[in-house]
Amino acid sequence: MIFSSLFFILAFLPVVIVCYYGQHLLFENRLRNLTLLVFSYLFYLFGAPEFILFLAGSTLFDYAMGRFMDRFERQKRLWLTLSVIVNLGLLAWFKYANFLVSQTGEYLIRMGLDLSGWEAVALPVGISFFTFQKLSYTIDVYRGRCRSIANIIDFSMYVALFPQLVAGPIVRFRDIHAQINARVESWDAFYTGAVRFCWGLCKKVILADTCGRFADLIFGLSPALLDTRTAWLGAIAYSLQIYLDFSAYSDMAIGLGMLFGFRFLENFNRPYSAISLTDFWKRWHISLSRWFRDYLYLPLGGNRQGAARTYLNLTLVFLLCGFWHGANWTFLAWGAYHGLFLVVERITGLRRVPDNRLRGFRRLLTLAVVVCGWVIFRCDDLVQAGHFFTAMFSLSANELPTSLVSLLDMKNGVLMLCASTALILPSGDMNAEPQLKDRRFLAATVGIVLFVVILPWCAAILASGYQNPFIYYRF
Amino acid sequence: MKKFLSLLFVILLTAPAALWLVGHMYGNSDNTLHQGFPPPEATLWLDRGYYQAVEGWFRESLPVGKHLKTLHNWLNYHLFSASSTASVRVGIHGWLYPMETTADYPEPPVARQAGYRLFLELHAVEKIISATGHRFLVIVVPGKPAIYPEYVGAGFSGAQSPFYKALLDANDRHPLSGFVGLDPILKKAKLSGIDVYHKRSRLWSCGAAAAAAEQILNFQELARPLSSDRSSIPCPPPDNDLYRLLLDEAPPEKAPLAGHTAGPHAVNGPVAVVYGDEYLDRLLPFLTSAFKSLAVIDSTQEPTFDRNVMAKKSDWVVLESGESGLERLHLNLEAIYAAASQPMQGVVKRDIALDGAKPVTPCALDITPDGLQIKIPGEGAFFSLPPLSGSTNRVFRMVKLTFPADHQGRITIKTLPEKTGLIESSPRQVAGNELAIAVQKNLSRETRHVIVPLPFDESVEIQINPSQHPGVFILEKAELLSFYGKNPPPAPSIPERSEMVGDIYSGMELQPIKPPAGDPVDEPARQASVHLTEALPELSLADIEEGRIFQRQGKSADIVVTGTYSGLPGTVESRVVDAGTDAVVVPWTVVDDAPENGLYTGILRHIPQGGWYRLHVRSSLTPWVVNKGSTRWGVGMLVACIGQSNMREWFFTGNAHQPSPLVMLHRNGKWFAPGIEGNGALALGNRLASMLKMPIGLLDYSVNGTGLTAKAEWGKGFWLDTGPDGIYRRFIDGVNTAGGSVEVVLWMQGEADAARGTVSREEYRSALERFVNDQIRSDIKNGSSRPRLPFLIIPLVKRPSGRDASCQWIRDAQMDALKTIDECHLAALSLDLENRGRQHLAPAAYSTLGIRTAQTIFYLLGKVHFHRGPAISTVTRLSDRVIDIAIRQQGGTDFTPWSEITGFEVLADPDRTPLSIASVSRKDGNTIRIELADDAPPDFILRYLYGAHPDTSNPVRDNTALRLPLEPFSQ
Repeated sequence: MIFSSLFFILAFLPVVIVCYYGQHLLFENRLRNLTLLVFSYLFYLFGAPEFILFLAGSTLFDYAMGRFMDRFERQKRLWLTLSVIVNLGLLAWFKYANFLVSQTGEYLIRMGLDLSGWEAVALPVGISFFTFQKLSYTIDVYRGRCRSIANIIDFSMYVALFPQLVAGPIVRFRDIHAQINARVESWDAFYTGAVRFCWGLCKKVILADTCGRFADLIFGLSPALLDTRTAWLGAIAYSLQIYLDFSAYSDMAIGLGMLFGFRFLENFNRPYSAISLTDFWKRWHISLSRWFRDYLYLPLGGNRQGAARTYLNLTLVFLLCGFWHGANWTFLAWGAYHGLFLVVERITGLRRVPDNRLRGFRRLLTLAVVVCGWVIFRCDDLVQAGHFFTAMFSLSANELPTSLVSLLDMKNGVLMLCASTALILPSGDMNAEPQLKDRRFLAATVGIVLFVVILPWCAAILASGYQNPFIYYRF
Repeated sequence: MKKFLSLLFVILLTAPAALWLVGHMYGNSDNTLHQGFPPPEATLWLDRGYYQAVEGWFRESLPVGKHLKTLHNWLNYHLFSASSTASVRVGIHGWLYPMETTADYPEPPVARQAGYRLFLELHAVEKIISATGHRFLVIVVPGKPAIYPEYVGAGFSGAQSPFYKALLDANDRHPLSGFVGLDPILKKAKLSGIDVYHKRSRLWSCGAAAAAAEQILNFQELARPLSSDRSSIPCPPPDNDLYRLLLDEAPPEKAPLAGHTAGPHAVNGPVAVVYGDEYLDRLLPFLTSAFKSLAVIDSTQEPTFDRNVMAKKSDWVVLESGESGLERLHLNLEAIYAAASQPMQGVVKRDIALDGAKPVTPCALDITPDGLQIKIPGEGAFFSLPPLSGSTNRVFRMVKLTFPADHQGRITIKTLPEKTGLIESSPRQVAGNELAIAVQKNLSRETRHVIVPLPFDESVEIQINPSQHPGVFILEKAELLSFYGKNPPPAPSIPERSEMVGDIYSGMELQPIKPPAGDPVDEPARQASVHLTEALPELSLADIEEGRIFQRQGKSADIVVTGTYSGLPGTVESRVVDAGTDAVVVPWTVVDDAPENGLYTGILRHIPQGGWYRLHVRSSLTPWVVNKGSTRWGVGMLVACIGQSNMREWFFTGNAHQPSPLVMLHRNGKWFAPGIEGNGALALGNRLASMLKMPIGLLDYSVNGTGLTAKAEWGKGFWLDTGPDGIYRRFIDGVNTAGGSVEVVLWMQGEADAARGTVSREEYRSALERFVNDQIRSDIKNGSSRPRLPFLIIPLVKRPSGRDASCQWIRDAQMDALKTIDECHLAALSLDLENRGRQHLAPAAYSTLGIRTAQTIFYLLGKVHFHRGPAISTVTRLSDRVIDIAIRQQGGTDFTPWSEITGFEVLADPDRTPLSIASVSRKDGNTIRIELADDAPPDFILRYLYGAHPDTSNPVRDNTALRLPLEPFSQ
């Protein structure tokens, strides 16, 4: 099930809200985590029923590891190691086994292995996200940042909480530990959550999917039809799509969390307003960046062990970050590409240039680097990426493909222009919540527009059969 | 405020489903077009399909969904001038056009070639009809973009399609005498202020139709209605059909075209048969006054212009088509020629000397007493007839080729060179010599001949490929038909046949025929001078496709052995061995005693049913060198499986069976071994294979969402459509690739025709009859031992809920067809089997259907004595509350269950109120007793497995191993 579906909006979500606040009235919130757990598993059943037992089993396993760490403190390291090996092992199996076989199959057959019975391994939806969440739990318990959780329902709810189950944000256990039992639901939070959810829905259904139509078309063109203009249009369209799509998901997840009293950390902060790659990674997929920083970069030594080691750590972290996205050379290349630019920024000292110096130029440069990175990320393989870069930088000009001309109608043009504002937003504080809090008229207007105009419009689009899954669902 | 807005948010989310639930509980439950909620079952909890079914059910059932969709389409059109529907284009100022009329034409040469081909076919039809003393009128209504190009908008390449333009250009040079061009008159009407097309309509207006009618009547010098009468002619108001389509609203019920035959009629006018599309709706009222009577054939329902048109007694034959419909127009020249019952006037027939035929690409020709024998290695092998005179404005010529009745495969005929310039060409095409006008035809079982109109050219070469399969074929006869109209010139003296080429009236210089290039008498000296060791033949075998199954004829099959050789052309022998043991199945047999042109081809006859086999070939000059085929193939039974999604599910749902090694699938023209997917197909294939001990080939050509009739066209095609790109043609191409012959055709379809509730019981039945008799049995060779190709039907499945009246029409029509169509049999009943949520069955149900269908095939083969379950024979009212039902057993002797039987309904007649049933139980092995809770009225209706979602939780099944269900009943 995806958030941007009629079934979720008009059936699942209303039922969850009614049940959740029904138990609030009837049972004084004693069943709220159980309610959310039941609906979270139901949510997962609609997405990947064949892996529901896998989700439950792996949750149980990490719950046990956490408990063992508290109970058998001397063997804490053992339990952590077990947790890390099992979690990463399962992640590797589900996510990378097919890739490994496809890359090494020829050699394995030469070595005498019979691969004729090999069947592709199906990927459990959201495994990358809930595995990292569970790891954050066992590591935090191991480090003593928090105690293990005693109630299995609470822990299962933390792992499977439907707003962030399949595509994040990756909520670290220590960030949400307190909220599991002590969160407070309020009209303010509910309203803000509803606004945030509708805003995310609007971004996804109206803007991101429009950009996606351009990106899908252009990235599907044969190299002979690509010229500089078309290739740049495709690259920018995809850059907008992936940002609007993923940030829309995050908005909806955060909004849904607020409906039930949770406050998740922000996942995006106007990433295309960044003035350097370092700045970009503080604004893009913040929960993943933090996870890698806390659980990989810093344990590797961070920047405290000399420049060379820092560069090595950075490169390693970004290679893994790329590979986390999927088993394909393009993701690895994308991670390496970002790692390389981050190292270059450190070597050249660019990251220490004051923020206000050459700000516009640096924003443009950073944006260009990021857009080129998305080309690698989007292409099916590196050969296609090569063709795409050739078209982008060869200053060629062809007649626009007919399919693209027909797509360039008034509606798509207007919506693309609206989406493009994401490229020129100011880079300051993004948090609109305080402004809405202080300016009641504005808050009411925003609410009315979103609820009365945008929400029905989005529902109308969804009712027409458009159902485009979020890009990050596949990771 | 936030509290209020938060509540508003919740209300907005909950209201649609809540209102729907309330309406559902208290409202009318007649949801014929909607699905029922997929029933939850323990086995489906981990099945992704189940959850998708739930989401789909919600999406389709929610009433607000329909309104939201309409809102979206409305917003797109009114705010953004955009269309949400792929079939409608929004032009400037809100003008709407059918997308197909404004689409880009990426291959103009191909379209122009097709247009010119249609033009020649129209000429041919006109000449045939004129030769029988009738008149032929062709009316083409220009499309909306041709009249209003200014509103189409950017990216529009031209007002006329290349197809139509080619037809018009050709007509300018070589006019059809009955062609009425409407472009000028409609443009003139537009300039005079008439709305030729309404802004939001696909079809023309009454004003335009009146102007067109006047032009037609003037052109044909027919009586025109008085001007006072003209104003009183009833005409439908402008239609917003494109707008409704854009908003995704249901189209209004369309009146049958035949209704327009109403008068006023001319007492002394001619009688006409009119074949046309929706444009006739507005045109016919303005034409009736000129004719004594009009018989109308709706081309949207009968897509082929054939003998049905000729069968009606008429003075005039009128063919009408919208510009966009021209490409779908299918003129069956062979049927029209055959149906021209009266002796044709002004036609001169002349045999074409077959001994003048020459190979163009590798093939071997030989004159035999039966005609011209052609040995070909398959597709791409052509031979040519002697050059012929082409058509002229005075004489129209056609070639009639006659093949034996058992000819297999698709015949391809090219007429070339094309020098008229009507077909634009690219350098590539010139270089590739692709300027030929090519037609592909499947031989009709009834006529045995194909007719090819000759282009307007001085000299025309005809190249023929008799089949896409390798083999030995016979062309019995080739005739040149010259149509002179009413006064043919006197025939000059006829030269000797052996020297005759072309048409005796053409004035062409006659050339003696040269022997074929590959004739071995040409170079005897060269062969003699070659050293023997260098000239030893080397054979290469064109191996049979891996896994191919040849349809048996009786208990064996003949196969074609072909390949190439180099060196001396010695006799070629072939044998068949068992693929596993190398045991000889068919000993060495001469297949070609005189190979030539480097090619050997012959038929190896009487290969017994069974498999798997391999093929060996050798030359008699080098019998020690055996060329062994590497592929496995067999002789067995082919079952063609067609229909829509439920048939497709046979091949893709469930994995309960391991495939028998004797079962193969044929899909998209290729053979391959099945995996474990597809309960229905594997259950059928495995059972047939284990009982019959021979390879079984299942031809999978069903297509999701396809209707039988044009009314059930949902964008996926419909089976009555015989057009070149249609699903039916793809199926026939697939069958031809598999050999052109099958043992049975299995049909599971009807959901699309039932969905909109617009196809009546009789419409479906008659459509099915046409489909089976005129299409299937005409295009597929009967491989069975039955008198006609068996057509097996699985009636429409039960839907989980809803008052499925329209489904019942289709089911009834299918049961009716069993009685009215010869060799049409019930394959299996599905009504007692479980649904998987929507209108598809549970995986286990497909296994049951496969086994039941196999039983039916065994029955047709005479191997078992029954294939149908028990049936209700009489209903006896014993008292006011007791009804006894006698059942007739067909295979069993008793039935289950003995009590609490479900599926029966007793309704009070005529208001059809259900009567409460107290119990339904077994009285004895042949009787079921129903006890009612209240007294039954004197007239009542008893139904079983009928009407609104009958309860089949405890249905009656006989005590045979197959547990066949009691058949549906209503009385």
